This record gives sequence, C-alpha cells and structure tokens, in this order.
Amino acid sequence: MPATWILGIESSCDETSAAVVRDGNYIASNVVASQIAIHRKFGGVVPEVASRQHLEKVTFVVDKALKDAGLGFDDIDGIAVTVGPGLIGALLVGVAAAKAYAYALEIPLLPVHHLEAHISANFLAHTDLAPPFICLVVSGGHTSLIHLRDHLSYEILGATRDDAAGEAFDKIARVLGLPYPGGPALEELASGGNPQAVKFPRAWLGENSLEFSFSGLKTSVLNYLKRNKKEGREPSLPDVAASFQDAVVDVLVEKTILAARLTGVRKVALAGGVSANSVLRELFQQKADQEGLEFYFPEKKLCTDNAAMVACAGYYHYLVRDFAPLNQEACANYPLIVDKL
Amino acid sequence: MRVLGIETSTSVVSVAVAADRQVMGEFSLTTKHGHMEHLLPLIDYLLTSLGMTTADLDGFAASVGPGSFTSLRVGLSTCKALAHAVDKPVAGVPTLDILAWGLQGTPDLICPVLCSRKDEIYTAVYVSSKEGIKRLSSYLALNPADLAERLSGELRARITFTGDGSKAYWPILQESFGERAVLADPSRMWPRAGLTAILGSDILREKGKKEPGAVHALYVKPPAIRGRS
Repeated sequence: MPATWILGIESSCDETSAAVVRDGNYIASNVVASQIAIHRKFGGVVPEVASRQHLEKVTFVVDKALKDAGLGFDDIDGIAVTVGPGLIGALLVGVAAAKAYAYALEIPLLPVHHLEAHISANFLAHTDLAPPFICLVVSGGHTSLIHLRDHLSYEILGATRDDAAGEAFDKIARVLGLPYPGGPALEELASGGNPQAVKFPRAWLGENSLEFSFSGLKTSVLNYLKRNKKEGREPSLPDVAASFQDAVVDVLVEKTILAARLTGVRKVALAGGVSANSVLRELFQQKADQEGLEFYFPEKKLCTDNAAMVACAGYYHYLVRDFAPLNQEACANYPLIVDKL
Repeated sequence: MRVLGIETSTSVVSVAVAADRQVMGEFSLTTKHGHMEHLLPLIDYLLTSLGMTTADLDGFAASVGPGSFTSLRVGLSTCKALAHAVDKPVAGVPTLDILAWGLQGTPDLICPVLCSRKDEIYTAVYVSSKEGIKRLSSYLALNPADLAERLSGELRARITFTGDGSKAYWPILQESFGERAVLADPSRMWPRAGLTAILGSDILREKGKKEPGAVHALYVKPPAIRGRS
C-alpha cells in the first residue's frame, strides 16, 4: 500500500502550525509559528491579536511544512484541520485556509477535534501504542479523562466542572507575579519549594468520581496569600507554588489511576499542554508502575498545540472516509463525536 | 487574465470571475454570520457554472478591508490558500476603493462609509475622473460626527455617500452636510466581488506577482485590548 501523506493545520489558540505526517505516525515536518512573545506583553492570549497573527502566518507555515518535508502539494492526500473547540476568530483562519487548500487540490478535508489531536500526539511518540487506553487530556482549556476504545471511538469518563487545570496554573502564576505562559514559570518556581509546606484542598468530588474541580483550590491559594498579607507575613512563594502544583497533580494522577481501575483498561496516557509538566510526569510514572499500568506520554514539543498531532488524528478520519463538506464551519464549542466508526 | 474576486468585508459575501475587465460571473449573498458556510460553495458553483477550476485562473483578488474583521479574515484566508495551492498571485483590494469605484462617473466627492464598532466609521474621500477613481484622503476610522470637520476645507458642492455606514448614520451625515449630502442608490451600497476582481486584475497587471503571504488585511485600527483583571 502506498504511503498516505496528511497535511495538518492548527490555529485554535495562539500557535499557527502546519505539519506533514506519513501514515499517521511519522512526522515529516512540524512547523509552529508561536505567538507567545506577542501575547506575553498582555499577560495572556488576546483573541483579536491571535486572529491577526494567524492570517499573517497561515500560508507561510504551510509552505515551510511542505519544504521541510521535501514534498509538493501533489504529494498530499488530505488536509486535516482543527475545527474546534478553541477561539472562534483564531479557528476560522485555519479552517478557511484548510477548506481552500483541500478544494483547490481536489483532496479530502479532514475535520479534527482539538482533544482528539492532543490524544493523537501519543501515536506520534509511540508507534507501538494502540487503543484501548485511558487518556488524561490536560491543558489551558481542557481537563478530560477519555477512554479511547478504538481510533475515532471515545468515551468521556469525566471532565472539569469549572476551571481547566492549565487555566488554574495560569491564574495562580499571574497572582504570583509570573510571566505568561504561567505553567512553565510556575513549575520552575515550584522546583525550589516544598510541596508539603501548605496543605491546599483537593477536590475529590465523591467516591469514584472522575470529574475535576479546580476553582476551590484556586480560591484557597488566593485566600492563603491574602491572609498572610493581612497578618504582615511574607510566605515563601516557591512553597506556595510547589504546594499548589502538588494539589493539582495529585488529583490528576489519582483520578486517572481510578479510571483505569474502574474500566479495567491497563494502559494510560497523558496529553495536552500541562502534560509537559515534569512533576506530573514523574508522579504518573511512579503510580502507574505501582499499579502495573503501561504509561505513555508525548515528548514536550508534542504536548503543546502543533499541527503534527492534527495531521495524525486526520489520518484516522481519512481511513474511514470521514470527509468534511465545503460548507464546514469553525466551531468554538465543537463537540467530540464519541463514535465515528 | 482571469481573476477570481472574493468579497467578505461586509454582510455581503460575494464572489466573481473577471476576464480582461469584464465580469464573467458574480454571485452575492447577504448573510450576517454565514460567510464561512457559504463562501467556498459559492466559489465552487461559480467556477462550475463557468466550466472552470481554480487551476484555470491566472490570479486571485480579495477585499482587504476595512470592515468586519471576522468575515474579512474568512475571505482573505480562503483567497491566500487558494492562490498558494495553485501557485498563482494574489492582489489585495481596499474595500472603500471598491465602493468608490461602484460610483464612478459621479460628479463632485464620493465618500464610502463602512460601519465599525463602537459608533465609529471607516471612510476615505474620492473623486471620479476620466482616468477612474482617485483617492484624496488616507483610510480613516473616526466618529461620524467628526467627518464634517475633516471635510471643512472641501468646496465641492455635493458629497455622495455609499456603504452600509452611510445608511446607518444618514441622520448624522445629513445634519453635518445638509443639502450637500447625497445618498447613493441602494444598488450601489454594497461591495460586489465583480469590482474586486476587476480592480484586483489591474493591481496584478501593474504591480506584478505577489505571494499569498505578502497580502495583508487593512484593519485601519489597532486591535482592541481589554485590560486583564
């Protein structure tokens, strides 16, 4: 069978990216035009600025992805694009471009859900990995436990009721005076602190619950800082960061292990921007080993938004001929279709 | 030279093919939020009707604004990617120019007005001459009531207003300019892709090949940034 080459396009938040992936597992190129430096000035992602940047970069990243892969448009079998969820103004630049490429090249357009793309990063990192497995997708916009029964067949076991874990990281980082993006900065600060210093609450939400909540933890950290300020004390910020991180990571790992127990699935995986966090990876590895579970995670550059994971996810849509129509829209609240098979 | 024109800067999504300054086909649809949904199907129907594919085109043109940022980006992103895919040049055409060209032959001043957010308008001032339409001012974003002051040194008798903003702010324009203000016919009020394609082919002929990445949106205003708590 000849190789299948998918060109992926990603523009759901603040990275404009294009990539070429062969047969859903070999990355021929993965170009990411990051806007972090631009948004840092504002302390977070400014949607209008992000949309403008995507429009400036979209054809550039596609061009570079093809050149890096040593391919031309004629070699491409399908165009995969993140349809949602994400920032609507950002998404529609990528979707409009992807539709136009697919139309002009007369090849299929493959509609990809952002969570599906993050999960797929694991297939790029581990070519031997096959479903079923449990995946914790944890990023600035998502905290979801998903049972991947097969490719394109998802069972959502639980999600956050309020803030996403990455969102909590970003908010606490801002309160601690750290620059955007807050996650990596908070992790660095925490590396010099004692995770046992402050006992912040963990939201377990009842026995066997696979849902998450981080707003209570966030309030607790804010109150702790306020109380100290009022009483004229200066708490150790590394200790606060480490204790907060510990509380988040603790819940994330325990609930994923619980999901494996409840479903009887013996493989667990991590995905999404927060899965680049080393403390999370280490605790995950430790607990998975204790439970005798196989544990997978992508390399750090595949954890944050990139188009290689989109192209990989798109490959499985290609295989079942799940093609998007010419009137495909971008969708800020795009639902994960649980069964495409 | 056959050029596909794409116009999405207002609530009209419009596509056209022009060959040597003649419109071969043009489809327009008024839609509030349906630009993404309708643009590519309209292009497909147009090209199919003309017995063409994107590969038969010599170039692409899109309105670059100012206008509705979101719909503008749908048109521009589509235009750039189409051109990139078939390796053809792209021309960006300012929307206010397209509206002014729609009134070519009108005596005295032409003033296209497009709605912006927060009670502001986008505008520029033009005159019609034998050679075509000539722009006299820069592209402006301002309060409609301030337009009178901008044009205070202007001695020409009449000013013809066109574009969605001229209708929306007609009472203010009438108050500012009195009898001198003329409202364009409704048939000329909306930018149409036929002119986008014709003006785009003029640009491609005069200025030569432009890579898709070298065409930029004309926002006129910097992005609105709300302070974060």
